[in-house]
Amino acid sequence: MAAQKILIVDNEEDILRSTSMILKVLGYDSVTLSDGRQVASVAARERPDLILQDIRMPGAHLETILESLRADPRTSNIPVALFSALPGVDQHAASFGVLGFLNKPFEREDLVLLLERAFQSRTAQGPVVE
Amino acid sequence: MSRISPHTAMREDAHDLFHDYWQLFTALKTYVNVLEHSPRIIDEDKVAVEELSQMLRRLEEHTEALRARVLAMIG
Repeated sequence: MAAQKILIVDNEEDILRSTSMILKVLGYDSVTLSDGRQVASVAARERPDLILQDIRMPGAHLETILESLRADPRTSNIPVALFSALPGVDQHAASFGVLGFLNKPFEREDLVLLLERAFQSRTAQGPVVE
Repeated sequence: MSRISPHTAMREDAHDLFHDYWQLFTALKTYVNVLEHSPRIIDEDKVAVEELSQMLRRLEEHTEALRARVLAMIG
């Protein structure tokens, strides 16, 4: 069985490399993207099992990114989890209708829990907040 | 044409600085985490990795306290 693939979107290259590395250790494949304007097209091409998206992307609004994903039948069912270094974002992020949230800096256990719950709870009632 | 006040600019600058700091800190912490759980790290090096991990935890606490105070000061 192929490993689940996660699309990591962040404008910080260090975040992309380090998150990709820990995901590999945890048994996941990953694709990285630093340009928020390309999320929908890359997601349509790569068909990830999950998108881990930074909330703050220069040149791209989160709402626009999410709308683009939901408008395309190839990507509309891909769950999205957010992560952010902005304090308190998780308190407002529920309105985005995403699967879960991860505050930076995060613990390994929080990432594991988010991934496990994300893949187990596509029909869950509410978002996962770590 | 609207002008951003110096106070607002300072607040935004402080938020941006802390945001960029946490981005780098997160990457550093993630790399250390990978090392912590690597089966290829020998015992002698595990001690150093664990010390590094503890230092990061203390640094995280200090930075969070610093951020709270700075942001409280500038409103």
